[in-house]
Amino acid sequence: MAWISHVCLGAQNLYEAAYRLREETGLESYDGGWFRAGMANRIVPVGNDQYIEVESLIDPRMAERSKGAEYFLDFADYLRRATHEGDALIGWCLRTDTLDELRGVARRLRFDVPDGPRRGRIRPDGSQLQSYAGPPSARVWPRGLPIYQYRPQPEQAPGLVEVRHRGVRPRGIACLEVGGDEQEVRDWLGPEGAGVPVRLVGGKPGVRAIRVATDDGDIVIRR
Amino acid sequence: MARLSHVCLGVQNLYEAAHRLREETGLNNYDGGWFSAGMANRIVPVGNDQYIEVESLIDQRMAERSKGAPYFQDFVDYLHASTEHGDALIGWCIRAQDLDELKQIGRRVGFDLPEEPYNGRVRPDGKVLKAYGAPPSAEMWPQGMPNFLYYPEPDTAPALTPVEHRGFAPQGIAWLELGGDEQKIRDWLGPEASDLPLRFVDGAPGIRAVGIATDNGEIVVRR
Repeated sequence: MAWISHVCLGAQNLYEAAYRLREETGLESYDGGWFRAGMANRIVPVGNDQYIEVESLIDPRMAERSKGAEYFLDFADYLRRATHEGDALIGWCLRTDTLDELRGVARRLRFDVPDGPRRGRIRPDGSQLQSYAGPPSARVWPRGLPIYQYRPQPEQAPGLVEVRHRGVRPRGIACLEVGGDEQEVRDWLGPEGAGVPVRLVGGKPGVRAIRVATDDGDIVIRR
Repeated sequence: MARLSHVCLGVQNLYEAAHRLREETGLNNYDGGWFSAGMANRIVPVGNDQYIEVESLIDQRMAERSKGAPYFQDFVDYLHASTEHGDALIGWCIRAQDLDELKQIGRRVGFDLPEEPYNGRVRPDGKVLKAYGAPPSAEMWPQGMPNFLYYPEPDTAPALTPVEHRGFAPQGIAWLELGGDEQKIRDWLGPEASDLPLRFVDGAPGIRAVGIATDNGEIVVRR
C-alpha cells in the first residue's frame, strides 16, 4: 500500500514561513538542506514517519541554470507561480514500502522509474539523500495529484528526525483536504492509495489543508 | 580592546557556498537563521569567538519591501552587486567589549548609536539576536572598512555555538589580507583596535583573504 509521505508547503521565504508555522501551531522544523535546482527546505516532522516540507526558491540564478534538468524540469517556475500571493500547499507525495510496488504504480500510471535512485536533497552535513520517484512534481502537482516515491534508505527518511515541538505532540497526518476532480484523484490513487486519508472537496485542484493529529486534538494547516 | 568579530562571505547561495567551503577547507557550519531584510546566513565558527558569516539573499520580495529600513538600508543591493560573479568577502566587523567602548569609538569616528539595540538575525529557534552596530554595513563595507558592534547578550555570540570541523580545531583568525588605503583604515580602527593582524596589499579596497589558525596548520580562505 502507498501512504502519505509528505506535503510540500511552498513559500516565498522558507525561514519566515517555518517561523510563522511554529508561532501558529507549535510545530518545530529543522534545516533540511538544499537542491541543485536552487531550492532549499525546512522539514517539519509530524509523527508517523510523515512530514511537511517548507520549501522556497533561494537561488534564482541556480534555478535558471538548471532549468530542464532531469526530474526538476521547470519546478522552480511552478514554485514561484504557486507562491506569488504567499504560502501555498503546492503538492503531496505518497510513499511505497518497496521498489516493486513503486514500479507497479508506474506501470499503471505510465511513468518511468529510472534504474538507479535519483540524488536529491543535500543535507546540511553534506550527505545526499536518494530516492526513486515519479512522475516529476512539476508535471502532476499543478493538477493537484501526488507523486509516488520509494526511499532505498528508509532510516534516513526526513520524518524520522526528532525535533522538539512546542507544547504539541503530533501523531501523523490524519487527513488531507484535496480539491480537484474526485474521480481523477481516485483513479490516480488507485488500489495502492485506496486507504490514503483524503477528503475530496472539489473545486480548484490541489491540497487545501492538512489535518495533523496530536495528543490534544487535530491541528489544521490551511494555506 | 575591540577585536575582530567576523568576516562576511557574500554568496549567491548560502547552502552551496557553505557546502563548498567545507569541501575545500574542512570548516563546518551551522544554520544561522534569517533577517527581515530578505537575507539568511550560515555561521562558520573559527575559534577565538570569531566566525565567518556565509550570507546570501534568499527572498527578493522581502528585500524589496524592506529597502531603506533602519540599519539595513540598501545592503541587499550591495550584496547582490558584490556577488554577481560568485563568492566575495564583502565585509568585516569589529566587536567592542562593552557598550561604553562602542560609544567611545562612535564619538571618535563620528557615528551615532541608537538608544536601543536593533533586532538583527532571527535564529532558527525563533530567538531574535540583538546588537548595537554602526555605521550601517552598506555604508562602510563598500569602502573596505569595517563597522563596529556590541552584543548586549554575549552568551548568544554566534561563534560560541560548537560545531565539529573535519579533522582539526580552528584557533581564530590569524590575519586578514586587505586592499585599500592602509592609513585610512588604521585611522578608522584607531587605538581601540590598533593591534589587529592586518596585511595590506595594493589594489581596490576590500578583503582579499582570511587566514585561520588551526592546530594542524593554517587555512586560507580567498574569494
